[in-house]
Amino acid sequence: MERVVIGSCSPRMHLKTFRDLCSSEGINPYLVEMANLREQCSWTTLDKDSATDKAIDIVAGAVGRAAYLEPLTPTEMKVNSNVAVIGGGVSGICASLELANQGYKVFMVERQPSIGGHMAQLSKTYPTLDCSLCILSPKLAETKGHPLIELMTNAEVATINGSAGAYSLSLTRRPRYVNENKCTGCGECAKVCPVEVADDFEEGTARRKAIYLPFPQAVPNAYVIDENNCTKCWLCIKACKHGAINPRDQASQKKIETGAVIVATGFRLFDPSVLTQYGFGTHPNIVTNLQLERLIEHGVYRPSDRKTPRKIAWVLCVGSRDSQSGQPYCSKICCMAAVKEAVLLRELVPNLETWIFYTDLRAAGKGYEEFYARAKEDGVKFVRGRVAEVVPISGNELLVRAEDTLLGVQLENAFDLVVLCPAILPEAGSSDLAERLGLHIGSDGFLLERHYKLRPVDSQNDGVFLSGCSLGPKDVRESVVEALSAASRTASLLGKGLVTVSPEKAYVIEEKCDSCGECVKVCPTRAIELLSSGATVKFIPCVGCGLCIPVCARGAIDLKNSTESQLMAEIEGVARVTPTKAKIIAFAEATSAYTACDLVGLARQQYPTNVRVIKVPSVGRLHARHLLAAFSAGADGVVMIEGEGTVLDEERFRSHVNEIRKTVTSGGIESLRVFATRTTIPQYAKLASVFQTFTERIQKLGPLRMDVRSRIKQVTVA
Amino acid sequence: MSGQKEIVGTEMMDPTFFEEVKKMPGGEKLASCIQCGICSGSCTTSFAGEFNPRQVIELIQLGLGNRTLSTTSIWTCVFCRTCAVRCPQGIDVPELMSSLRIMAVRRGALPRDDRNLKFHQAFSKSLVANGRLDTFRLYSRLAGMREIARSLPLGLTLLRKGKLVFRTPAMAHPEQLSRLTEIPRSGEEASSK
Repeated sequence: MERVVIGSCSPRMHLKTFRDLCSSEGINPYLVEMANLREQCSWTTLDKDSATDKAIDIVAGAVGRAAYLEPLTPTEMKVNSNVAVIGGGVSGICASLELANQGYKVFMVERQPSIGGHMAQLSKTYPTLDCSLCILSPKLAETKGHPLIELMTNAEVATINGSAGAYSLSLTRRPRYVNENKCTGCGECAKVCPVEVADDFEEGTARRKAIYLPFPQAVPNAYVIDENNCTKCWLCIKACKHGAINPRDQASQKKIETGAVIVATGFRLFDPSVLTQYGFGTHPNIVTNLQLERLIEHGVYRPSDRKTPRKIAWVLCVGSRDSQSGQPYCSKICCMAAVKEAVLLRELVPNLETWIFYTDLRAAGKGYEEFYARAKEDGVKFVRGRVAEVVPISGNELLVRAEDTLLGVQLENAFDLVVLCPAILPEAGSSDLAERLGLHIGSDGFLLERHYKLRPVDSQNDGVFLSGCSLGPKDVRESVVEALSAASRTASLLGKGLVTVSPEKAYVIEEKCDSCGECVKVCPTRAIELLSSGATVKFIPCVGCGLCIPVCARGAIDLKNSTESQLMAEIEGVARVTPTKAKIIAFAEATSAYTACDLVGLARQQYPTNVRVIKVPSVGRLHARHLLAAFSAGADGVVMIEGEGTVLDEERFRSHVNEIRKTVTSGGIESLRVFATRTTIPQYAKLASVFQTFTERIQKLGPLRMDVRSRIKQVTVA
Repeated sequence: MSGQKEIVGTEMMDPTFFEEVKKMPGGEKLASCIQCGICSGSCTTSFAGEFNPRQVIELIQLGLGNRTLSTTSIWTCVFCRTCAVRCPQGIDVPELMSSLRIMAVRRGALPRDDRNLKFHQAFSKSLVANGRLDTFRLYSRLAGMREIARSLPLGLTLLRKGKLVFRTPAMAHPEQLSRLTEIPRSGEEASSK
């Protein structure tokens, strides 16, 4: 026995199991092939006869391919044991400390001038009522003082390249204009600064100077000049006794090399002014709950006249559970945050009335229900009903109108402070970062974990781990849990010192290469160099996408485990064997698109058995000749499916598909027989309808004309 | 809310009713209702009905077809559309009310002695007969003798100012309107448009 074909479930499930088994019996693991008869055949239809034909084709394809399989051996590479942590909120801080305490060198990159994130802005934390900064600031100081943590504030990731074990990041540090080491934080500079603007740390509830310390416990504890508002009068230079101010400070670049990356980019709040019925921005006494947190910290007052409020209303679900103007998901933390704020304020302000208007009160968590019960004991009033509108009735007062849905009556109540609880959104720029790191984004806009339940902090990229609100709304405790998980996952990658590198890489057939350089241009990871001997593929950075193959006019570049002969044999097997009417070949990109095809079956969604899926590393690996081969062997239609956010960017995807379509149609095949689309994994449901619609289209068009088929047969044979 | 509470048993629930309403205009997204109450909190007329819009949706979801169609509440909507603008799930409540009215007329499940319903009936009768609204006849059909007597001073004021027209002339070919007004009664088309 030399090669093994297994007709079973998806290779995503048990390819490793069968490879390990064969390996233990002395057969090279890359000589195992799996025919996906479960997720992509039996689970997608109830029609046994046509499913049997489809299964025969799938097995024929796998057998065809198996004949050309080559023994391959993964290589091992030494890893760089440094870690980059992007984001300096509580999640990033805990992950960094955990790793640094295990002996790993950590580079922490924070966009703001201080680390601390949103947690630094909070008054107290539920359900224990720990003072937020009291528990956070020791962590901030520890981060700053740790010999293995290199802190980079006011900095962002400009570029990032590489793969697990070897990433290189280039960071851009914005000018601070204040030397962090010389500044003592005395504040003489701010006293003379003539510019006053809204304080962003205080969410606009206070004002600060253009040279400022973000907050008293800021780390680094150094002032910073707000570039956008500074008038460059430089009065601060004279005021500074330590010569810390540097007017010629410039943006600088820094390159770092790491073995792993942790993304902890956090969240931002939904803009409540979108929901005009809540009047945010039209009356000073309508505030967000983050603004209220700041008000609690520096004295509770109603902004209209700075007097103590007597009656406060919380409006929950502002932009959450709102698929029309906001986000369809529940932001999770707002219920408990509102309950906490009400309890706190009742302690601070005697005789205060506190009303919480909720849609469904969600207090699931250790000690949360008990805290909610305590709030009710304390006299916080709860009204089940989403607030309909907030109407100003005087300079200080606002009318809140809502239905008490438990009674079925409309309530109208006057308040002198209305607190809106906006939805939690992924931090701006996280999608940009995701694109550069090859991470996936879910339909909710947050980063997508590798496996929702079993690999909750892994990303699609082996050396990148995710943590905190970059994954979804969550509170401090959960952010810390994920930080520690991400640190642990990072340590298990780096701790071995070696990573296994897949042998599925492109390689150049030297004697055919004429050094035209087309492959160099198209390579998304710059893994191909042009040497005097011709093009050469650098083994580590090559991601095995195969984009270089269709651009090579001389067939001088090929891809291990997805070679020309393997792919052609599979196409031939799938397309030729059974005489199915309106036979459709779907080429699916291996990671997202192929997984999405599996999920269609897993969800038991039905689609016509006419469709047979062939896995390819990327749609960019396909050449028109592969489609022509499919048509000549018996296909009547071809679908190409690429994942979103893959190395094949949107522009190249379109031009590539157009190029293929042009060649195919010039052979006399109707353009309608070729269809291309992109999908994310969570959008898998759309694939079933794509397959349905496309099959109907091909059935309407009828079989490919015999003369066209035989003509392309001659061309492809030649 | 009615004073007397009834016990709702499963025998009163018609499982097909919810599906039927979902196929009507305004019913498409009914299943996504989270009973948040923003519609009834925003409703300008819900105080006048037996149930508010949120409760009407609950009746539909429970499959209480007869109860839904015979309630006076579906006749109180004035189509201000505030609820539709604010509904976080995009449910078009006024359109739904319109569909429920059509279903109620078809099934003859109309509430008895409802002023709003009477207004709608008198309104459409005047429109069908005349081709345009005859306000005096509309008023005289709806108001009782006592109410007419009570509003006599106002009527005289209006008359003096030339604001009261006793008879609005019919349009030239009122029968041309009949095609529009027949649709809800024919029972064929789901849409009132």
